[in-house]
Amino acid sequence: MSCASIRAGLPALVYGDLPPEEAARVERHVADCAACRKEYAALQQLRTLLDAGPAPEVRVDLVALYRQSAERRRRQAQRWRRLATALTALAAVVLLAVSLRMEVRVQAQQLVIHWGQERPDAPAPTPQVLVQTIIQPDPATQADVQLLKELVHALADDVEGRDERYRRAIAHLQDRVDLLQVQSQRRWTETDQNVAALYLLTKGDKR
Amino acid sequence: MRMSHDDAELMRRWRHGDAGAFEALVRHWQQPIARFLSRLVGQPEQVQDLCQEVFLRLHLAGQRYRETGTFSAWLYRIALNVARDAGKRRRLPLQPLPVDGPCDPMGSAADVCEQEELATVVNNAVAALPPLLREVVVLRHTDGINFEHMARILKTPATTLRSRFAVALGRLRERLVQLGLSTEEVDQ
Repeated sequence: MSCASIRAGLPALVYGDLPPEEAARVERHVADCAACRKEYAALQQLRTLLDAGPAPEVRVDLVALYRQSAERRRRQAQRWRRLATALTALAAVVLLAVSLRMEVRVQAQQLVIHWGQERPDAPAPTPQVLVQTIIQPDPATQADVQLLKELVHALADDVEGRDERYRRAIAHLQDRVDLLQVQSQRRWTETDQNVAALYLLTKGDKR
Repeated sequence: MRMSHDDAELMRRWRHGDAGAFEALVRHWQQPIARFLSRLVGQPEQVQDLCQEVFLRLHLAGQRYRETGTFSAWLYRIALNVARDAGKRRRLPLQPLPVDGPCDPMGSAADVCEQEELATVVNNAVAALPPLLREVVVLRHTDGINFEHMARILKTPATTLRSRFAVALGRLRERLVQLGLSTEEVDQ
């Protein structure tokens, strides 16, 4: 086995990555070959120096971490909402364009938006025909409308009549309350006078 | 290699709403991740912030985790992405790393100084490697990561990573020779 092939396997030997049989074979060669032994020792030393790297003391700030996590999630949700809104608006525009068979073109230096089916042979409807249709409903519908009007008026009258009755009842009750108040005031005054008279009488007896 | 079933159990509990499980994961992994980042990034003052970012991304991505591989591979991949993003933002060359590693407690002060100087030289040489080679070297010197584990982290075949590692070691040896540290001196 040549030194070149052995040296190619020395890093694996230093780091324990060789299968046992292979490792034993390489170690036997290293024991007998001064040059390879020197190379092997240099790699071992290099590994020792690499293992002795920096080890800083670090403490993760969990309070700050939770706060930052919540903030990032909020911003991410905001971005998704904006994207969803934009996509929804775009989808609505596309749907509208497709459903209306909208056509956008530039014609004679003007932006033309056209929708609906073109009927070059169909005549344009005249306003007179439409108006006639609206102001002349069929008799059955006319009778229904008249009935509804009468019912609404009757209901309104009934409501007005009921309101009037309630107003009269409330006024009557108000009068009764006023009367009771006057009567109770009179009785209180009489009681007060009787008590004063009794007091004078008792005072005269004591003398 | 760290006990993956502990990590898997903590992840399962966290995903079911146990915040204490997430905090246990943080306490368990913050030092290894800090060590990994400090070697990879080469900017000691950035390690605290980068470490914070790693666990913040872990917290945000926790619900998407599926136990198909190992938790540590997933976490190191997050750390690697954080380091790569920091590298894209950084425009200055990497600075020499301070050495806090273990020294021979039985050695003299001169021996300790010499060892620290050598370690600084080696760390500078690592910092000067291209990112693809540097990542392989740093990962291989992270506790519990072999080439198969590294392959899951870097999503690269293990054979490719072994080749890169051999190239990286060769470059480090050449760098040491260029700096006047021959094999004999390193051997000492």
